[in-house]
Parts: sequence; structure tokens; C-alpha cells
Amino acid sequence: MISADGLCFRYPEQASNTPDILQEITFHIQKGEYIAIVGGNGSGKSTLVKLIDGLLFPTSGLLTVNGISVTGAANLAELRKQIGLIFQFPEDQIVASTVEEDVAFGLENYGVPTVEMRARVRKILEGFDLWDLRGRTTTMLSGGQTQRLALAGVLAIGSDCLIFDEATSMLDPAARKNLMGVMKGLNTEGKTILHVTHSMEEAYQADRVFVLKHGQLVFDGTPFDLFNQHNISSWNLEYPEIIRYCQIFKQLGLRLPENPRSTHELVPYLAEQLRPVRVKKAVSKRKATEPVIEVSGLAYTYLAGTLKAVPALYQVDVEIPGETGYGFVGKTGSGKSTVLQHLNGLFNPQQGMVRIGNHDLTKPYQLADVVRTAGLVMQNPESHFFEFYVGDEIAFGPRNIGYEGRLVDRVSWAMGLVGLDFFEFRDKPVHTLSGGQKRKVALASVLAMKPEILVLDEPTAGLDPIARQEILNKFTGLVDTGLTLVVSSHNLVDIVTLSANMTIMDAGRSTASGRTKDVLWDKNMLLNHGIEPLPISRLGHELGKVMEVEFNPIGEISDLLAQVEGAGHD
Amino acid sequence: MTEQFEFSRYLIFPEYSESGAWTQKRNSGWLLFSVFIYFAGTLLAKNWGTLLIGIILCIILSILARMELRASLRNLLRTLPLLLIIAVISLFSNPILDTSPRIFEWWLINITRLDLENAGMLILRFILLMQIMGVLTSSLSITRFIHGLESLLTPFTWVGIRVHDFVVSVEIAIRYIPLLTQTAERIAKAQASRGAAWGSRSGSLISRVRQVFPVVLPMFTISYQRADTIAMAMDARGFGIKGKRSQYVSDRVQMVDAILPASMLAYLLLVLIYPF
Repeated sequence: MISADGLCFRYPEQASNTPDILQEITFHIQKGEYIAIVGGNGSGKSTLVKLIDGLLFPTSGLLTVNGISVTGAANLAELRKQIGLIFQFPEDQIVASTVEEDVAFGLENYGVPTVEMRARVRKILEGFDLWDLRGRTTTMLSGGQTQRLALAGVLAIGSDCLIFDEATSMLDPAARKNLMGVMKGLNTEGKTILHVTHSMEEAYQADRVFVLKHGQLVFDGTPFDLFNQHNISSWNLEYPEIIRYCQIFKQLGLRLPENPRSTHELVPYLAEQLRPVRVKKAVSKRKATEPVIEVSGLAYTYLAGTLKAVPALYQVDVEIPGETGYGFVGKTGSGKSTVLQHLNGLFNPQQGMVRIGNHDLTKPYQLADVVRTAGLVMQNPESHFFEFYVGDEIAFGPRNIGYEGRLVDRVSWAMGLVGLDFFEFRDKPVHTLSGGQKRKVALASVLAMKPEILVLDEPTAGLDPIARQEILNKFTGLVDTGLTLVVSSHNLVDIVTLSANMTIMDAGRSTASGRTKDVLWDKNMLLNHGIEPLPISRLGHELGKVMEVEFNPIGEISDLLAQVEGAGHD
Repeated sequence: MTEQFEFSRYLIFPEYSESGAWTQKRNSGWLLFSVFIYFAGTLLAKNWGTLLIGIILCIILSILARMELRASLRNLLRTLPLLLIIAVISLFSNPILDTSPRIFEWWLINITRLDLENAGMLILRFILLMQIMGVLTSSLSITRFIHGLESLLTPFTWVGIRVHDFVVSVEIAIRYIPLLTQTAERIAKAQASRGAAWGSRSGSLISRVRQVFPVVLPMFTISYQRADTIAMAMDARGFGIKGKRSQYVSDRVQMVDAILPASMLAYLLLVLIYPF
């Protein structure tokens, strides 16, 4: 269906001494294939899919879609009808003002007759559970509804090939699982799926994987070949959780099935070769510290008192101890970001109480004083950088709060904390940095104010696996220095890595709090709140059921290994 | 504190939301035409008699559009500073041949009864236009507005003007307003959370205006990037390709649609010929 032969691309405005964005790419995709496209930030994945959709044209080489050559404006209508492209941020692809009109937008462009268009719009909206909202203004939809609408608008066109360009990266695990299910369903119906992703778990579900590095196609094969035979870290990739577990079990001499797709397939093998050992439940040796943040009875409504009022929080009660990590987990729209924006004083409580260190937010306060205590790194922070150079961006905070020492020293210190060389990066324009470097700049720009508490909203979202791991290592290092870390994430592995305690948020309420591993071990409670348990917890539960044993909470593979013994394992 | 970051609070005109109001069921082209004629009539009205008819029409339209009185008043309050500036300018724009009685005189300042009347009429016109603009934005979704505009401008295609491209540019510009406010909110929050004195009500007017610049400049850069993505998403869904476009919303004209334009044309006619 799609063929590329020696495909190259470079932007006309690119400096002549820089390499092509895509270099000599050759592949053939059959109709009905499911292909994951992976690679580090800036490896050329998005450029490739834009070429396939005719949004960009090759500089040299051949690219054809269903026999249509992607060379210029000729045949563009027919080409774009073949390909549906779903972008990372759904709100950026919604054009019309009401739900049904947005779904109809593509059909109008292709001149579909009104009667047929109405039938197709209705069918697709019913399929996505949006029919009852058809007259609603698109700006008044929730995050999940916006995501479904963006997808519906593309699917309505009925393209044979669908491209998902990091469309799952900002979703919570339940929505991600749901979207993955939709992709699988479409693939079963015969649609060709190209899925650009940073998630190795998702790539592992594909039939075939393309790996791009510096604009070159360095791997084209099955996910099993990719994750079993190659040293993938040099391509900025990591192993999916299940492969990582298998590698550890194999090192212990355990016999495992070939190429397991899920942890479920490992259970009979492990149950046969392992036996449980009685271990006392781990008790935290860390001395309980006084809460540095207290939230009680917090309620909040956006645009309160207007017709557009949207309640976000109903009842939030949280106590966050100092000098450790604290996590917030919940579905999209559960209120996590709204809570976090209270935790550095950006929002003051409409109802209830918030105390941050010595600052009681129910009383009048100066925001500049509160942000000295608690610094917030907002979601997707690089999308709202406001200075041109790295050094200026990082100096913005200390300058505002009236830092009296040498500003250069403070900036240099903050850059050092996140692993950015001061002399190499201070004069670089921020837009020239990679995804991981930008995230480090965002982190340094808050750390430069030397807060006692660091509040992070989805700190690893959108990063490639290696950049994500680097950032996680920086955070754990910061906690070791005595900083209090408050982090919200859809990625439960991040939460286990960074936080000792946590809270589950659901529909504007804090519904469960406690030790992170205990909370994440409660499978039924998590599922009730729409949260997918960790793969290792799932494995632990299933294994415990077969072995007829109650394991202590398992949040990491070391927790499981500590509670079993068997062939090769001491 | 919090409200300082909710910029969409300050959007003056109400957004379309399906309410089943009478004006929402009208043909979009005719509704737009009626509003344009009302604008013309109100701007040309030169006496209290015709403005009174304008007020009555405005009230009737507001009721038919199910406009909330409180929301309308709130929007008016927001524009109060602008209204006062208009009034002051109007007071001092004395017509050369103003022979009406002087009400106030001090140094070079000279206010006559005609000045007061002119200022009052100017404010009234402004209020009426604001309210009718609200009627329009609450009655037509962006897409219907665009369809209406396109049908109104159709005659220009006969002289080779690309009306469709123009109206889609307008559509995106309107669609972009909420995105602009969201971007501005995010930048303001990002700056405030790093100690910028955003939203403080203290300080001089100049210092408060200066606070806005660091938000506005990056907002344009970021907005440009988002606009680029939106344009790409539109292209990906077949926008701009050659061939005839179809329309999802078929805005049929009914007899009842003629009531509004007929009333507005009568109003304009009256304005032009009164006093007889």
C-alpha cells in the first residue's frame, strides 16, 4: 500500500551543513499491516508520517501510496483521502465550533453529498458515544471527549490507512488502552495502522516495528526480533516491561515461553519453577516527618459564577510529608493538575484549606513568597517557554524573586543539578534543544529558585525512553538531597520510582491515600477508579493466585523476587 | 488570585450554545444581513426617536435570542471604562457651529447641551451594537456564521474574488480566540509560578500594562506554532483541495426568515427619512 525507495527530506530553510531530516529510507507496507514507528525525540518519525500524508513532499527518492506518487500538489485530494492522520494534541485538530460540524468538516472538503454525510456523521458519533453531545460547542468538551471527537473527525472520512502520531502520549492508561483497542479493532477491519509512539509496550503490540535514528531507518522487523536481538539503548529505546522481566528471570535460570505478549503467559512457567518464601511485610525505616503540605476539604470550580463554570474539585484531603516523594494518580480530568496548581499558590482555595510550609492560602498571600517554597513545573512545560536563550529562561525565576547573589552562579548551579553544561547551553536558543534537554531546562528554571518543594505535573510525558530515564534519575537524586517532590503522572512506573506515598484522584475527589506500593497493590480499587495496575503487580496477583499465596505488595520486580525462591534463585 | 488566570472570563460576547432560541433557527445569511442592516441603522440614527426604535428592536431580538439580562449587564460593566473614554472624547468634540445652551464652562473646557446629547447617543449606540453582536454570537455557531457570510458574499465571486478562502480565514480566526486565551493563561501561570508579579492589582496603570508584555510576546510565537499545527490538521482532512465542497448544514430559507430583514430594512428606511 505504501512504498518508499531512497526517500530523503530536508527543509528548504535548513543550513547546508546540516544532514537531511530523513535519509535514504526504503520500505514497503502491505495493506492491513499494523506498524509501530519508534525512535528518540527528533529522529524523524513525525516528518515521515507527514510525507506519507502529503503534508510535506520528498526532496528526493520515491514515495507512493496506493500507487499515487507523493511528489506535489497533483493527486493530493486522492492521496489525503487514503490517509487519516491523528495528531498528539486533539484540541489542535478540531476546527469547527460544534461536535457534529467538526466530524463533517473532512466530508465537506471531499464533497460528500449532504444526505450521505448526515448518515455517516451520525453513525460515527454514535460509535464514539458523542451523538448526544452533537450540538455542544467543541471548546466545552472534556479531555476524553475531545480525544474521541478528534478521532471521529478523521475516521469519518473512511481512509484505508490511519496514522496515529504520538496520539496516546498524553492519555491516561485507561484511555490509552481504549485507544489501543480502537486501533486493533480498525486493523482487524482491514485498515493499515501506522502508530508513532515512545511507548515500548505499545510498540510490542504491533506486527512490525520501524526504528528511526537521526533520520535513518535502522530497523525494520518484528517486535520480537527488535527486543530480543538488539542492543536497543543506542537507538534511544528501552525494553518493554515484560521483556525486562523475562531477561531477569532468564538470568536466574528460569525456563520461559518464547516471545510472550503478556505477563499472563509467564504465570504457569513461573508457578512451576518458583515457590513462595515467607517474608515479613516491609516497614518503612524512614522517620515519619511532619507534613509540609496540608490540604483539607478543597473544592474548586473553573470560571465560577459564569455560564461556563466547570467544577473540577469537590473534596480533596491530602497530607504530604517533607523530604520525600509524593504521587498523584488518576484518570484525565480527575483534578490532579488543579490540585497541583493549588500546591504552589497559583490557585487559592475557593473552599477548604491549603497550607504550604508556613503559607496558609486561605489568608491573603503574595504568590512570589509561596513560589519560593514550592516550585511548579507545569505539564508540557516547553510549550510555554518565553525567553529565547536557555540562560535567560533559567534566570527568569531567581530574578523575579529578587535573588541577591550572582545570578550567573545560581543559573549555573541549577543547570548542574539537571546535568546541563552551563557553558555549552547558556547561550543556546531554547527551540534548538531536543525534547529531553528542553524538559531539563524547564526543571532547572524552577530549581533555580531553590524551592523546598518541587511540584511536577506529568514530568516525563512525551519524552523518549532514554530522556525519560535520565529525568527520573535527576528527580531521585533531588529527593536524596532532602527536597520534597510532589508528582502527578499517568505512568505508574514513574510514581513507584519517585514517590513513597500517594493519593488516587477520581472525579475531583481524593479517594485513597497511603504508601505507594500498598495503594498500587490494591488491584480492584485501582480498576474501580479506571487505573490500570502495574504489569508487575498483575503478574504478582496472578502468580499468587496460582501458588495460593498472599504476596506482600509488589511494585517492582525486586519485590517479587524477594518473596520467591526456586531454580537458580537464592 | 485565581480569576486573574481565567482570561476566557473576559471574553465579552457570549459563545454559541444550542438553546433552541428563535434566532438560532433562522437562516444564517438572513440573520447576518439583518444584523448588518441594524448596525447601519443604529450608526446613522441621528435623533432620539429613531434610536428608541433601535432600542425596542434590540430588546425584542434579545428576548428572541434568550439572552440573559444579567450576563448582558455584566458584559456592559466590563466595557464601562471604554464607554467612559468614548463619552469624554465625544464631550470635547464640539461641533464648530454648536449654538445650543452652554451647561459648563471652565478655562478652555466648554460643554453644551448638544455635546451631552451627542455623548449620550454615542454611548447608547455602542451599547445597542454590543448587545446585538451578542445576539449574533449566541445565535450562530461559527460554522453557520461562516456559511451565512459566504452566502452573503457570494456576489463577489462573480467578479473573481475568492470568497471561500476569505471566509475560512475568518472561521479560523474566530475558532482561534479561545485557543489564544488558553495559551495566554498557560504563559501567565508559568510566569507567575516563577515569581512574576502577574495579576497583582497594586501598582500604577503603567506597571500593570508592563506586566502584560511578557505574556503577549511569547503568546504570538506559541500561537503561531499552534496555528501551524491546526493548518496542518485541516490540510490532512482535505481542506483546500480542488473540487466542489459540500455543506453539512443546509440553511434553507423559510417565509418566517423574511421577518427580521424586513423589520431591519424598515428601521433603516425610517432612520434615513425621519424627520419626514
